[in-house]
Amino acid sequence: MAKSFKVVIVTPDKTAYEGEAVSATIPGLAGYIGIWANHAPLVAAVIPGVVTLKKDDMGSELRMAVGTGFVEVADNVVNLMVETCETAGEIDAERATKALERARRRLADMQDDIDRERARLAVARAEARLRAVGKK
Amino acid sequence: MAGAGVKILNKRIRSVKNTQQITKAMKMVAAAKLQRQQGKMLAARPYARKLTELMQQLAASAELTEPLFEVRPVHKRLFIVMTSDKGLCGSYNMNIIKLAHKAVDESKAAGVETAVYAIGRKGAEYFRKRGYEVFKSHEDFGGDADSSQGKAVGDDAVGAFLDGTFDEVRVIYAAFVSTMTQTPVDKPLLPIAPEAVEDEDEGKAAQDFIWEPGRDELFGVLVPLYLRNRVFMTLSEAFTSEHAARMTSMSAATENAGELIDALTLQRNRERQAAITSELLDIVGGANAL
Repeated sequence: MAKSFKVVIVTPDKTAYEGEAVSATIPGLAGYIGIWANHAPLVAAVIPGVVTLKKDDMGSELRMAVGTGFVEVADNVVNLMVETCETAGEIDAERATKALERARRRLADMQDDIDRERARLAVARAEARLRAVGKK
Repeated sequence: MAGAGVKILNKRIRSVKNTQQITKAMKMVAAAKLQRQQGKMLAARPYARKLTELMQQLAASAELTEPLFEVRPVHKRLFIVMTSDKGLCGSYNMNIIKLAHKAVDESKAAGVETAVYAIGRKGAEYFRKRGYEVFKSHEDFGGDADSSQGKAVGDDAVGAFLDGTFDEVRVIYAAFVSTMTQTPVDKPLLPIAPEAVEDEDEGKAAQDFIWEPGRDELFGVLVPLYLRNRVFMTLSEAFTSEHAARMTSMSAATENAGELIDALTLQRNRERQAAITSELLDIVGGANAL
């Protein structure tokens, strides 16, 4: 069995997850980052997306939709600091679908750059939620 | 006749008892809210600690060129004043407002244009009534902090600082010392003081991290998050103080009501006895006359 490492996910409101994993996939600013045990020390920016944790070699997986934040990897501990973190069970797929439609519409008739950035983030968040529940 | 006095006293005792019931209920509610808010504050600590750690690591190895660190000559100053929306919490609001009022006046006396960002209705009303400039106010947080409030207030402060509306932002709130003691404090928020992110233990910063993307970009993402969190933690502490103050003052009010009831009951019993005695005297006097 592959070596496991510790994963801690903290949000402003609580410690959302704490446990072991053999691999983690994290949505980084420059693309998805794959992490295995003994990863080199790393600090990376995290964008809204899906974090996938492989719990063991059997392929049992945990998927979570996360918000903007950071990941820090050091000494086989992965620390994720994100603004939000929701497990598949906590996500309301219907609501996320509606939010996605809304955000897409907003994005379509947006002129202002700042608002566009916000709408784009909203789309990313909604898509992440849907992917975390496996509806996309 | 003495009987009327007893009636009045009975009425007063009943009314004090009613008040006591209300204060007792408010004390319990405040205690429950205090506990919840304290739990939240504890739950929020790991995130705040990690964020600060990261800030230290980055600051140790990157130049602090972020505009939010820039110290400018102060022409305009903003005080974020955190009070409660509701009263009945003893001297909690008064203490904060006193400190804030003094700070604002001193700042004005020094020739700096000064405005207030009021969180909580009590503070907003106070400064508005006295003709101070209220930059913005939130009067619906209801003593329950969550991270979206930290985000809203933090982003307002950052926005106003970056576009030059204000050159300095300070926060005035009640620091939570214990359930019995809350001390109003005046702390700087912007520009971010380098001390706030200075490294305490050198060991960790020495780690050779891969930074992705570069340090400067990371810093750009981190600083706003860090600031939002700072505001959120402050809010959450202020609200914890509020509930603690309310609990303490309501508990004191309940006790006072109890003492009042005891004193009134004693007085009533005395009057009743006096009334009975005088009636007896009347009867005896009447019997003797026969």
